Amino acid sequence: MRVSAFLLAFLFTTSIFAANPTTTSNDDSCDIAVQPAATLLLPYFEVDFKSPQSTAVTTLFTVTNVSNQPQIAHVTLWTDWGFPALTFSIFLTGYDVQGINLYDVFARAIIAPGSGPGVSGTSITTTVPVNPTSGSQPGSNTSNPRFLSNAATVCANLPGVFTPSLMVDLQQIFTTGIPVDNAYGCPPPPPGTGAADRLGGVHSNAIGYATIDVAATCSVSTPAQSAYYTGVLLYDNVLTGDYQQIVPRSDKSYAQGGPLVHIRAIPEGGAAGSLVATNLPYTFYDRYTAGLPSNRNIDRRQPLPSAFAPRFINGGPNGFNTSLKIWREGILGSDAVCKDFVRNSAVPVVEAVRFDEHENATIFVPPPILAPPQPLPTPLTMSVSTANTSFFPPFTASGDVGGWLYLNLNNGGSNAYSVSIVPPGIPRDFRTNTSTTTGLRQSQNWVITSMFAEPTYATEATALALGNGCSPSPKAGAQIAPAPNPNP
Amino acid sequence: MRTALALLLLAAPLFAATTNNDDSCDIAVQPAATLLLPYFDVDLKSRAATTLITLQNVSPKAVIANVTLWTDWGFPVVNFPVHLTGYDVQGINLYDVLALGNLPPTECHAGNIAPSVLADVQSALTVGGSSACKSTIGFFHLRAVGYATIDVVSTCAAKNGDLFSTLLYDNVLTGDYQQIQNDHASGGPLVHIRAIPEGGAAGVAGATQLPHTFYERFMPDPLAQHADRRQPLPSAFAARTLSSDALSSTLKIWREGITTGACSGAQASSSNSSMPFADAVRFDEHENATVGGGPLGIGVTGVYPNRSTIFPPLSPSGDAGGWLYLNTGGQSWMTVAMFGAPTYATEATATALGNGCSPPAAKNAQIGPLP
Repeated sequence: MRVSAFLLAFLFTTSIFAANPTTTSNDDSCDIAVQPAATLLLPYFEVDFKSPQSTAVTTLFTVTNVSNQPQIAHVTLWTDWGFPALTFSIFLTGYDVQGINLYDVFARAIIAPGSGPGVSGTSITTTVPVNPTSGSQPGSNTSNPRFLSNAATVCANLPGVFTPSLMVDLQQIFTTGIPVDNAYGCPPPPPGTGAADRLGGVHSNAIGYATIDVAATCSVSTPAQSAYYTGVLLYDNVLTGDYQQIVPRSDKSYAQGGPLVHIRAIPEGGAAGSLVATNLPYTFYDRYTAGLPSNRNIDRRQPLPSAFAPRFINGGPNGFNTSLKIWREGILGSDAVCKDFVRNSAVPVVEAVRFDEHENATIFVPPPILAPPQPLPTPLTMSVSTANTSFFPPFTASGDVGGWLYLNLNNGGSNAYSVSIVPPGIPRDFRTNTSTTTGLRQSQNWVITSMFAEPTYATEATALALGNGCSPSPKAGAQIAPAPNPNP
Repeated sequence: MRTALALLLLAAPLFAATTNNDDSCDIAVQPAATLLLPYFDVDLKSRAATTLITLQNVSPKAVIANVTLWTDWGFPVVNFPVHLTGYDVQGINLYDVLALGNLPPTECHAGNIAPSVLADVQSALTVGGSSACKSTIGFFHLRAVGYATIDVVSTCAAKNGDLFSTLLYDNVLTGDYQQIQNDHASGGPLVHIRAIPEGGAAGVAGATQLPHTFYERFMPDPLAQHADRRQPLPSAFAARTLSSDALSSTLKIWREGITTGACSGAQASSSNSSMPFADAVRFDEHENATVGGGPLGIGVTGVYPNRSTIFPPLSPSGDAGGWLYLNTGGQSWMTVAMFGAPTYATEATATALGNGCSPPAAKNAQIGPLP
C-alpha cells in the first residue's frame, strides 16, 4: 500500500512536469557534456610497465578542481572484468590541478610524486596561496563543509608511494587477472583452471578503466561497497579532467587523448550519504547500491547511454585505421565474490550493424544453429579494431573502406540492476518502475573512436551517442535513428 | 525507511522533470541540427596542412546539410549543400574545396566553385579581402583560416542571407574533424548543437524555452529571435595549459560575433575583429593566480599559444602547467590542443563551467561552476 501510494505520487508529479517542463536548467539533464562533474570516467587505460618509460605505452590523466573549495578526488582502478584493484585519494586545494601518469603507478609504485621520497604531491597541509583577486582566491584546505571530521587527519599524510609487493600484485592482476596471493581475499586459482576465479583478462599490457569521484574523506573503500555511498561519496559537480595515451615509437611516436567522461550528480550538493530525490531513472553506480534498497539512486550520478554511432575507416589512400575504445557497465553488484568476475569477461551485445559509404548495411551472419545473429560478447573495457569482424559485422561487398557502425551495446540487463525482473518474474520499465512487457533497463556504455595512419597521424573523438542514458534503448532490429524524444 | 520515503515524496516536486532526451542546454555528442567546426586551417599550396570534416546522417530519411565557411571575423564567404541519403556519411577535405574548388559530389549536384569565385574565397580567408566587399573582412594569414557551420536545411538552394526560411529542426547530424599538420594530426567531434524542441517545417517559428539561441543575432524577425531553436553555447571555460620543454598547449577559441558579419555598416564584420574577454585568470599548479592580459581582443576564431599575451602571464613559480579561466561574456567554444616533440599531438574540448542557459558570470566573481 505504501509502495502504491509512492508510485501514484511519482506518476502524478511526473505528469505535471511533462505538461510544463522546465527544460533548460543547468545541472539538470541526462546529457553527458564536458562540464564540471562529480565523477570522471577514464573508459580505458593501457600501460606497458615492462619497458623503460622512454619506450613504454602509457596513459596519463589530469584532474582539475574548478571550485574555490578544496576537494578530495577518490580514484579507483578497475580491471577489464570490473574488479576494483586499487584506490587512492588525491587532495585538491581550490583551483588545484593534478596529473597522474599510470606508468608511475604500475612501474614505480608511485601515485602522485611530492617534494620528497614517499611524500604525496597532494595533501590537506598544502599551502594555500594569496591571490590577486577575491574571485580567484581558493578557500582554506578545511573550508569544505562536506568533509568528514577525520579528513584533516587522514588527508594530511597521503602516501606518495605504495609497497613494491602491491605493485607486483597490480601488475599481475591487470595483465593476467590472477593475484599473487590472498591479499585481496581472492586466492590465486590453481593452475589449469582457466578463467575461473580470475579477476581480469590476459594481455601483455596492464589494461583497465578508472573512476574518479568527489569524496568526503580520504578513504580506501571502493565504489563496489555499500558503505562508500553512505559515508564517502559526495555530490558536488566541481571536477574536470582529460587523458592522453602515449605511444612512443622513436621518431614515429604519437599520442591520442580527449576529455574524461564527465558524469554529474543530479541534483548536486549535500553531505555524504544524504538522501535527496533525483529525477534520474537509474544511476551510473546503480549496480552497487543493492545493499541500499530504500534508495537505489543514492549516488545521483547521470547514467550513460547504450546506443552509439562511431565512424570507421580501415584502409584507403591515406591508410587510416580505426579502433574503438569501448567501456561497458558490468553485470555484477556489490555482492560479487572472486569466482563471479569471469561473468564480466563476456558481456552480451544486443545489436551491431555496419554501414558503408553507400549506406549498404551488413549484420552478422546467422550461426548454423537457429539463433539470432549477434556480435561476440566483450569484457568491460577494450580497444578493438573496427576491422575485427568477430566483434563487428563484415565489410560490405562494395569495396568501401569507410562508413559507420551502429552499436546497441545494451547487455540485456542484470539482476544487480535496480530495475530488473522482480519476483515472480515481472519485468519493470526503467523510466516508471511499473510493470511492463518491455523488460529490464538497458546497460550503460561509452565509446571513443581512435584513428591512426602511418607514420604519426593519430586522433581520437567521443563517438556519437544516439540518445542519453535516460533514453529507452532500442530493441534489436528496431529502426536505427536518434533516440525518440519522449517530451510531449 | 519511512524517513527516506517521506524525503522522496517531499523533495520530488522541487525538481523539474528535465531528464528527457533532447531537452536541455547541455552540448553533448548527440545527434544535432547544427554542427560547428570552430576553426579550420588549410594550406592552399599543399595538402600537408588541411582540415577534414566528416558529416553523418544517423536517421533513415535523407537530409540536406548546408555548409557555410566564415572568415575569422564572422563574414560568410561561401556556402554549399551536401545531400545525405539516410545513414549516409560524407567526408570533406577543405583543401579540395578551398584550393581546388571541388565540392562533394552529392545528389544536390552543386557542381564546383567557379574559378573566379574561388579566387575571391581564397582571398577572403587568407588576406581578409574580397572583390565583393571593399572593407576588410578577416585577419591576414598565410593559410586559409576560418570556421564552418553545417545546418539541416530544406533545400539544396539554401542561401546564407535567407537562412531562416530554409532552416530545419531535425536532430539527425553528427560529425568529426581532423586537423592535419605536416607530420601529425589532431581532432575531435564537431560541436553538436541541437534544435530544442526538434521537428517542424522550415520557416515556422515554433516556441522554445531556450533563453538564447545560437543564431539569434541572424534571426530576421525581432519578435521571433529564437526561431532557430538552436541551443546556445556557453561563455565561461576552464582550459588546461602546459608550457614545458617537452609539451606545450595551444587554445582554439571560437566566439560569437557582435554583429552578423556584413561587409560594412552597423553589422560590419570588422566589429568582430577585437572582442575582449570579460574576465581571464591563469592558475598554476600551486593555485597561484595571475590576471590581466593584452589590451587587444580577439576575433571570432583563432588559435593561441599558452604564452600568448592575450592571456594573463605565467606565474613566477616556474610551474609548467595549470589552467585558464576564460569568460568571454558571450557564446563561445574552446578546444585545448597539446603538442610535444617529435609528434605527440592531442586535442580535447575544454570544460565549460556552465551551459549556454547559465547566467553569465560577472567580472571578478568567484570562479567556479555556474549555478
